[in-house]
Amino acid sequence: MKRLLAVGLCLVSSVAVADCYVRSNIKLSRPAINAGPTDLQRAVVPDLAGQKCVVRYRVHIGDEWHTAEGTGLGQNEGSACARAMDIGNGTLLAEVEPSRVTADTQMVCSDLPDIRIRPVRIGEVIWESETDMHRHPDERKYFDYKQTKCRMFTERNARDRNLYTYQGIICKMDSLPNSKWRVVDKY
Amino acid sequence: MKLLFILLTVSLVGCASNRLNQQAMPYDQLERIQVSNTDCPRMDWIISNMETQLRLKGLAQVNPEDLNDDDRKYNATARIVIWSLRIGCNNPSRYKS
Repeated sequence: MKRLLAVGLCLVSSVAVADCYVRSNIKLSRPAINAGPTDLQRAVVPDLAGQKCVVRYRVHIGDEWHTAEGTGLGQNEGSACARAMDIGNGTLLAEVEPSRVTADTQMVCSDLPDIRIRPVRIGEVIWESETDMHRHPDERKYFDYKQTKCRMFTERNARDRNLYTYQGIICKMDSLPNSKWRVVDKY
Repeated sequence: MKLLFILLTVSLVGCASNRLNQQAMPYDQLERIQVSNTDCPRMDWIISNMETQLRLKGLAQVNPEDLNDDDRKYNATARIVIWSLRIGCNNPSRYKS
């Protein structure tokens, strides 16, 4: 009984500390996607049906990164997370139509870390979508360097009342979908 | 004795000229360097040369935020040459439509 109470309190406390944020709900057509899905994060918790999986990943549409999120139930972690990718916001990647992007916002609470674009330094290990896509469309494509998948990025930074635009290279650390990236160079 | 003097003079001149060669390329010369896919066969040599220039300027391992405007321009110009070759030569289909 004590154990059950302790587990219950842990669950309550984990719910209580969940961060809340405003999430964009996006519908898009595949041609609008510049990059992604990438930076896959997932949280799996037991559920009456078996397992409940919440996935969150990032997709670059138009000129900015968007967060997509889906929730799925399944008998095991694999099936729950596979459904999570398809259900709810996850289905947006499977949609070929409509041809234009529509968006609304809603409040979401989750313990998964929220990823945002930020200044990075050479050698740092980051999520891919912490860097912006390159300003020039020709430079947005992924390329191979030393047998790893890499891409260029741009970073705008204000300093001493001046706006600096840097560019740089990030490379994926391994081939897993939730792999992080290393900042190889920035100039 | 004369021979010793000549050898000493030659070696001193050699050292001096070697030190002159160890100065980094000036920025106005660096910014005129343009590379294309015809440079791919000698990309290793060009990259090595650019890395040497960066080393001589003390810019081998730097973050651009930490540099003054002149060094930032020099650093970016040399690295653009390096990455243009690394990316373009190893991914020939990248810039084809």
